[in-house]
Amino acid sequence: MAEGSRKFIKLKIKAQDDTILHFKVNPSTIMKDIFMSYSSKKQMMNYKVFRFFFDGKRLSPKKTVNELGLKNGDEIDAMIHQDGGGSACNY
Amino acid sequence: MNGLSQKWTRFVNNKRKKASQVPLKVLKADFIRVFKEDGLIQEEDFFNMSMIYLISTFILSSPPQLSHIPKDHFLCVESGQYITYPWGNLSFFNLRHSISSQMAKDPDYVKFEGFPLALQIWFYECCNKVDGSIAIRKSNRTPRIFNWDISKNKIYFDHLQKGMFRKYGNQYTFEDLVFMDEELDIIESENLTVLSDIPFNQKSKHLPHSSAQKVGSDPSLSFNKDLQKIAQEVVKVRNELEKFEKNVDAKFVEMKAFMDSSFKYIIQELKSLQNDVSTNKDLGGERVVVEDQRKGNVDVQDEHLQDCGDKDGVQTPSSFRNHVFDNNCKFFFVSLNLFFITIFSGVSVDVEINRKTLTLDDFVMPNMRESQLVALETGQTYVSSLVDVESENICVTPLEVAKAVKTKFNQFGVIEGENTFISPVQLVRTKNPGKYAQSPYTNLSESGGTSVNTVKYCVWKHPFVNYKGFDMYSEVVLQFKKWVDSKLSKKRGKKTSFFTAASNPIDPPFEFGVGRVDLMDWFHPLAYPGQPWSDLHVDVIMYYLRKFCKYGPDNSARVTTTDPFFISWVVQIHDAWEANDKDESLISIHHEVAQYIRGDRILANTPWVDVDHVCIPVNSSAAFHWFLVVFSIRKRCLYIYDSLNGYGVKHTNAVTSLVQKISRMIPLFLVATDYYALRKDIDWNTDVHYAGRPVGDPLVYGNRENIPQQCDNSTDCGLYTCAFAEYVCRGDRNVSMSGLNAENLQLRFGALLWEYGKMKIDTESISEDEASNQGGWSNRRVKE
Repeated sequence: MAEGSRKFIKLKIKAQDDTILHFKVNPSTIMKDIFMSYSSKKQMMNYKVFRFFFDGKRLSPKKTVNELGLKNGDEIDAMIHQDGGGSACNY
Repeated sequence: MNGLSQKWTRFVNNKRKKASQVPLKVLKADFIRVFKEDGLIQEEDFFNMSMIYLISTFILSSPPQLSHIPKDHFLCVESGQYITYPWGNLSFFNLRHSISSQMAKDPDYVKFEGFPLALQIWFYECCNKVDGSIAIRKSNRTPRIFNWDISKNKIYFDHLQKGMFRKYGNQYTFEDLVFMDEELDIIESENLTVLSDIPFNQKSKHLPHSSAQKVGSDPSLSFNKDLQKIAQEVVKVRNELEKFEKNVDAKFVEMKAFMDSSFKYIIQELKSLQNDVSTNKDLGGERVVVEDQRKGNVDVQDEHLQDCGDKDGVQTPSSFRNHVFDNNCKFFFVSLNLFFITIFSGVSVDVEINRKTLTLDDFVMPNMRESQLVALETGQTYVSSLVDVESENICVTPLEVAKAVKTKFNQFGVIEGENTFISPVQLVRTKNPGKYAQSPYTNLSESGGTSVNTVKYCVWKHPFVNYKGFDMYSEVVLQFKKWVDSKLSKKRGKKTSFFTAASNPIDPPFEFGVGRVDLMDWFHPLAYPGQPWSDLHVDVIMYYLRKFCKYGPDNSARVTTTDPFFISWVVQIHDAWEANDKDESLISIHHEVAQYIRGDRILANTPWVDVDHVCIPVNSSAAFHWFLVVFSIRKRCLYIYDSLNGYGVKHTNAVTSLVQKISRMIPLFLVATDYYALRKDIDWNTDVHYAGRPVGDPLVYGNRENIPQQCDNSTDCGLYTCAFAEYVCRGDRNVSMSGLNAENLQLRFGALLWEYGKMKIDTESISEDEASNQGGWSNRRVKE
């Protein structure tokens, strides 16, 4: 761990509006921490508002950076969640 | 009352001993009883009576104890008007009436009146596979009514409801009845008119008359003709067969003579070779060794024979290990074995010609094992002679022998080149035994720390693999429902979640490619109506539909789908494009929309070059609504599949504004990615949808009309979006089945995904890595 803690990974999180935030994280960081940090930067109370994608797959908030195989410079997409119900919930 | 009816009433009244009353109708049971008794009907009335019998029992069937034959029928038959009377109408009216009155009571068992047989046959013919306990197709004749044999057991409503007509998971699909070509031919040849072309009244009078006569007389004639034709053809074929056999026999005799002569040469050559060798060799102790080895060789071959007899295939002769030879000898035996097997497979053919009668198999495809056995039997003398050659260290290597023989072959013209020398015998493994006698399949390094985790890929590529069309097994649906129900929270009153904190997590989680599902909350909207679908629901189904389109089975529709976030990127680039005064430089091939089009953005992606339709699920956050947009590439337009079509001004505006953005952006990105250069089948000069339009012109868009609509106060728009997409992926772009049952569909999607996810967990397999296509995606981004 002593070796790993010195190594930082730089991640980019790109939002739908094409804005990019840079994160410097430890490989053992849990993704949820990164997501929460991103949400607070975006002034959202709940990180579950966003869907974080990498390589077309959703990233699990419970795993660490290392477990997900994220490398230095990788770019994550943050999409706002979508729901739809039609008439019953309308107006 | 006159004539027949008069006689009849008199007759009946005599029976009843009430001569004074003149009835207006006759009980059907009475009539049938009298008709079947002998001597009660006079011969002159017999035809008319039997006609009434036919009408009242067959055409207008009804319970005989409860129904009557009206006086009109007697009059009608007596006057001869029954030929023109529309019995079909009457029968249909009775049938309709009895169905509508009896089915309203929700009974267990129903007897229809009228002509229900037609209805039954119609059902059986429309159904692709009929339940064997209800009716069995006996033959395949042209009036299809003769084809069916119906079981005599009572069929209960419950049985039908659970079988042929069950709501979901129904494997019996019904299709419209269509005239087959054979039927049309027969109808034409027998001058019958196609029933659907004539009015109903005429139909009813034509049908019994003409078909009954024609079918009775003509088929026998035509059948005899056919029989004669077939007999002539059989004679022809036999003659040809005899000719062919003679031809083949002659060829084989030639071949045999040729092979005999050629093999004589080979054997002579080999013998002369042996003689040369024997003149050169030294006498002494070595000779003994030679003989020993010769015996050994024979032993080896005997055991080899047993091996071949016991087990199938050619094996490495294990007996080699038991005999102590030096390395040269071992190599030599193995190569010798091979060599002779290859050579003497030819000899075996020769031997078998002498033994058996000629068959094609002996020449063309000799059975490997047999030929090998025979080769070893016959070839032993030659083997031993060659053992002499080699073991006495005379410098004739097996390779040279092989070469020599090969050149002999060339001389005789039997074999022309190495490539044509096809040995029918499998190659024996020439691997030397290792230092330790052990199986080559045991892995010594297993206990090491370097063992690799083998990844087991899922057998089914997607959940739709096992089901044809919209079929679904009801057992799976019930299991799925049971699984969800078992985890529901029992708490009454106000609840924050449908599941308790303990029952909510799914462990191990379901892996659905695009995302993992680890909470029961995700499955609840699939099992129960009334909850909106999230992007993960739509994304997972779109992902599997994409795989269904890509890998089949049996899917020829060139369709792909996108994920629900395509619209987000379109909106983003559209807004930026408009804000920058329609700056075309923003439309780059590296933008996400371009990546979708090129096919390296999402999992299981297909480039849009290879498809004709693209299903885009669109979420409108303003209208809180899912709808589907289908981009028809060949027609250069967008179809909107909206399950709330024209719901209100606000709704329509929200939908239209999004579709408008798609219609503007897609052409620009198609141009940016050089799409039309790759798409050769679109001609910009002649194609109606393309000719005369600027390349970047916005796409035409419009609502797809007459598609199923979601109920008021329901939240099924996500479901309908996925269902529409599935219809399009199956090639049915009109969504023809209007009776789309939301509840069944929703359970079906839920059960499909649950079954698939569970199978992946049970077999501990994963989906194949779809990211391989887009490995360049992340890498490229890093480089940029």
